[in-house]
Amino acid sequence: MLKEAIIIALVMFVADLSDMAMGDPMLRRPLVISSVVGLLLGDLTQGVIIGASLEVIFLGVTQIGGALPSDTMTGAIFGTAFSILSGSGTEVALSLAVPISILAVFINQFCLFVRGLLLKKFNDYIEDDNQKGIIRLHMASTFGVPLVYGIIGFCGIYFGANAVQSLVNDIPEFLMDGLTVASGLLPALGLALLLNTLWDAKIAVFLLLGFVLIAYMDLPLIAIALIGVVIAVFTAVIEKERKSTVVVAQTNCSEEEDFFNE
Amino acid sequence: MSNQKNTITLGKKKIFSKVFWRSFTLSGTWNYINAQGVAFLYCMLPFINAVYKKKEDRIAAMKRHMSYFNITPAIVTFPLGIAGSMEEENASKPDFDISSINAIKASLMGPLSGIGDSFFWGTFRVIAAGIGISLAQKGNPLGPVLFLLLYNIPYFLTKYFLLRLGYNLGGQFIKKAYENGLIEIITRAAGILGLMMVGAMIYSNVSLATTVKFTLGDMTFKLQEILDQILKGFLPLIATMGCFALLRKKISANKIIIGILVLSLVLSLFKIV
Repeated sequence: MLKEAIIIALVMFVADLSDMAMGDPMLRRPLVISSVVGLLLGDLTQGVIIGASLEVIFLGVTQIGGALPSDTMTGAIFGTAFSILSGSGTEVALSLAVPISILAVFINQFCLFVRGLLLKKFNDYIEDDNQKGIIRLHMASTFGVPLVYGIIGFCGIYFGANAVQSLVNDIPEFLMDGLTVASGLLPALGLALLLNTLWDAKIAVFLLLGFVLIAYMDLPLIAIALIGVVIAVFTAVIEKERKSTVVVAQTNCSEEEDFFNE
Repeated sequence: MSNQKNTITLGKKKIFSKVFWRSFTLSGTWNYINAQGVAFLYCMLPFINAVYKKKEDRIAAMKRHMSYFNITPAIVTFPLGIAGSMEEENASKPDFDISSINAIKASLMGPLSGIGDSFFWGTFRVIAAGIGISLAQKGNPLGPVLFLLLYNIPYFLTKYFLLRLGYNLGGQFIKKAYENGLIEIITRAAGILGLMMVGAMIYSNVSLATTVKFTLGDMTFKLQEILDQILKGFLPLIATMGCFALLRKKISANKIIIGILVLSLVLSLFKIV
């Protein structure tokens, strides 16, 4: 397991670093990172498929304001790795990734807490106009947290893979069937979470349009996206015109009032 | 002031590219106390050093930019550009109101993050993920690649150009845009797009089908076929809207996950699905 543990440690490190030092280019999203894990552990296709299912479930999990509601990255990496290493299917990946992602939030919270303690040091550096110190400490924090994730990746695989293997071997059939059903249903929650952030009652009906376009017309998603762009741009233009006429009308009114006042 | 700014000199180009690359470490010191405050300061250092020659001025400016700041990473270069131009103005005008720099920053955070989140999280990411997922479901490695490209090309371009735009516009423009409702219009337009993608993804990604059959006389009816005639994808839609309704009632996602697991076990145990 040593080789695999080192691989996952590196994946964890780079994935978290992509958020800290590369402006979060979506590298650590399940769709990408599970595929990378699959590639490095020798089963790209399985990694890609797991990534696709995890991405839907975690689509609504957004990192608003730095605090994660659940650590999708860690969940996806471990879920994919354990599933491939134990030779089991997507259901196992999903049923491991979800609880791991919830537990892993504590790693993040711990790191954010420690960073808060650094602020005093930063303030001291400012008082001395010590810009080198500021940059050094900022970089230490930027690279230090990914290092913590790397270590967790190593330990998780090195000490956990066998336990997961025996767990998977002993899993009863009815439980497996249930997990298969759950893996089809969990995306409903993922999309609901996303919907919760987008919801605006006045435009909610467009949800149905997207649904119907694919259910009955079988359009590919890119076509639906483009139709959406047309509608969005058109409404924005119309509304902007309407707003500016309102403003013009209002200014006319006030001018008239001024006129009468005179 | 704005007349001189339109011509960006060679020295400024260097500062801009420094600030641009530094802005990628925005999450590097994120913490509960000042969020991206330290990273914002780190990004501002090239501006601060270019503008202030006196040590006290630099320290005062550094203190200013250590204050709480939190914004969608994709658009952070916009307030950076604005703050840069305001610091420059402050250095050249003795009667400049220093507190206006942080006031503008603070007032930009909310509305700009609203736009940034709805564009990058709610729209670009969802479209890119939707298209990527539809390929990746069949095991096609082009799925993740396409996802990265579709998200990152607009992301990097926006980040790059917003720095100059922010610098050239200064603090006044965005206040105006907010007052005349432009931001609301743009946010809503992005929302339309996001909602359509979610609608489409409900059909293509949520799977729930019943195997229930019943016989009337000598005819056998499959419940799923009847449901399909009412509305294709009826059960996935109901499942998603059900989860959504629970979320709106402030039931936590973790509880819903447990509910889904239990429900799935029960449904498969009784051979309903």
